[in-house]
Amino acid sequence: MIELYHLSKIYEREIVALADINLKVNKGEFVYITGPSGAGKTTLLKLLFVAERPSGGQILIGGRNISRIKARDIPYLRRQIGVVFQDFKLIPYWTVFQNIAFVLEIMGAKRKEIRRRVRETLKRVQLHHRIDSYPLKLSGGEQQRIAIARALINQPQILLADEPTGNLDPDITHEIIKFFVEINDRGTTVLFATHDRNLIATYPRRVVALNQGRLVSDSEESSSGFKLGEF
Amino acid sequence: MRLGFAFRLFWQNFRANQNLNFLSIGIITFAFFILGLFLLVAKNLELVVEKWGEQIQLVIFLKENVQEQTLKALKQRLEEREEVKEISYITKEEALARLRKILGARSGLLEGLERNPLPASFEIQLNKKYRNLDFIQSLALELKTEPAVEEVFYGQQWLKNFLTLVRIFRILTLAIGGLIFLAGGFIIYNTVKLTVYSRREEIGIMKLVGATDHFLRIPFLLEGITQAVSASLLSLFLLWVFWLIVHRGLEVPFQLFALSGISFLDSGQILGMIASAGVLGILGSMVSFQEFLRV
Repeated sequence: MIELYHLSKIYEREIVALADINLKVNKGEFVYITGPSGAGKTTLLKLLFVAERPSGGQILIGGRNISRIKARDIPYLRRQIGVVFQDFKLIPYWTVFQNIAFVLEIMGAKRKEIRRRVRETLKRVQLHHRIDSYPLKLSGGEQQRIAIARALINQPQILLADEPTGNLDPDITHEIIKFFVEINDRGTTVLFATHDRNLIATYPRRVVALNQGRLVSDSEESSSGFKLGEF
Repeated sequence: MRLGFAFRLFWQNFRANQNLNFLSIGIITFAFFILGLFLLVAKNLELVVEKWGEQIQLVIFLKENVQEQTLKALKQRLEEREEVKEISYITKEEALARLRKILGARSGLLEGLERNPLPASFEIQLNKKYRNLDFIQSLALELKTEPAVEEVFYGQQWLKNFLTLVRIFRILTLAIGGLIFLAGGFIIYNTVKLTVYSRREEIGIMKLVGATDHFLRIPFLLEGITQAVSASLLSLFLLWVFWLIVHRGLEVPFQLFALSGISFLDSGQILGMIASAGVLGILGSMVSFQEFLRV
């Protein structure tokens, strides 16, 4: 599903964010991308939804090389990938409905269809009663569930999450991760960036660890088993 | 993209950012008001200049005892010339009566005269495009050769000064007008740009969930145009109110405008202002879109 070959990202003044990353994520996998702050987790995800361009190497998504994707094709790629951010990235003056419906509006879906799908998706994240609320009236956990609903509305094959629980209480963190697990159970490939070791210990999945831009361990390839203490 | 959704998105954004939009409209209105005010002043000064120009005339003083037939023939020849707008014949008696009127209380001075010393004359008003010094000079020379003509007078020095003043006025109008237009345009363009800039985060979010630039451009274009055009309409209204006040209250004290009156902008200028608002709105939102929103 996702293949990275010798992927690197170097910012101005020779700041190396990622160096020689090789990684293969299969369809339907759930992978934690972990590592300390500045390890390159966010950069890796940004390269996958083309918010950044790689300095070297190749990125293949579903067999398609997106390293040199044309600017005009980026929006269409993004519509196939759901992304959830730590800061939710909801538009504050739009209602919950408008925030989620926008994804379908830009694809030209019919009004009736949009209404039906938004309601269904909100039910999945158990917030259908909040359909007309504004994001700032909701708790952090609720806002993140809205962001998840927005990422899911288009039934993407891949879901990228950049520290989605970073701003949330432990109780709510568990609530949110359960959604990701459930989404993954339904067949969506999930890449979940986090530095929360407890979370990984509670919901163990494949763990790819980065440090200073390098891939330092991958639990799938480690014969002796992955130890959380390695990062 | 469905246009209906573009309009909905535009309206949604416009309402949600009311304060910012009203502030922008306020600033743009002010810039347009200054532009309009300049146009109004320039236009009215031009009208004054034009009215003064109409007073440029040649006076042909005639010799004594010219036969009536010769006078008639001369008048007819002058009337037939395309540069002559109007010609009137002033008899010796009329000339004396005018002088008496001008002297007013001192007209008694004229009582001692044995005979009327003033000559009869033709007063010629020229069409607009012939009101320049070179032409008037050559015409005066030509008329002087007529056997019935004693002297041709056209206020040489006054005319020279007046025409120089008109030239300076037009150069100044162009220079100041150009500067005000540039400054006003810059303010309007930048205000629209700032509105888009202040929303870069939301636009970034929309792009991250797969909106194309083309999709987002339309609502922002509409917003830029709405801001600039509504501000231009508002400024025209304010300008009209201002004009009404000046027109009613100050016309008489302003001797400068006594001849021409004070008129409002003509339909071409009004349409020009609204159209330039539209263009600036489009430019402002397009450029800021390209500049800030590479997500």
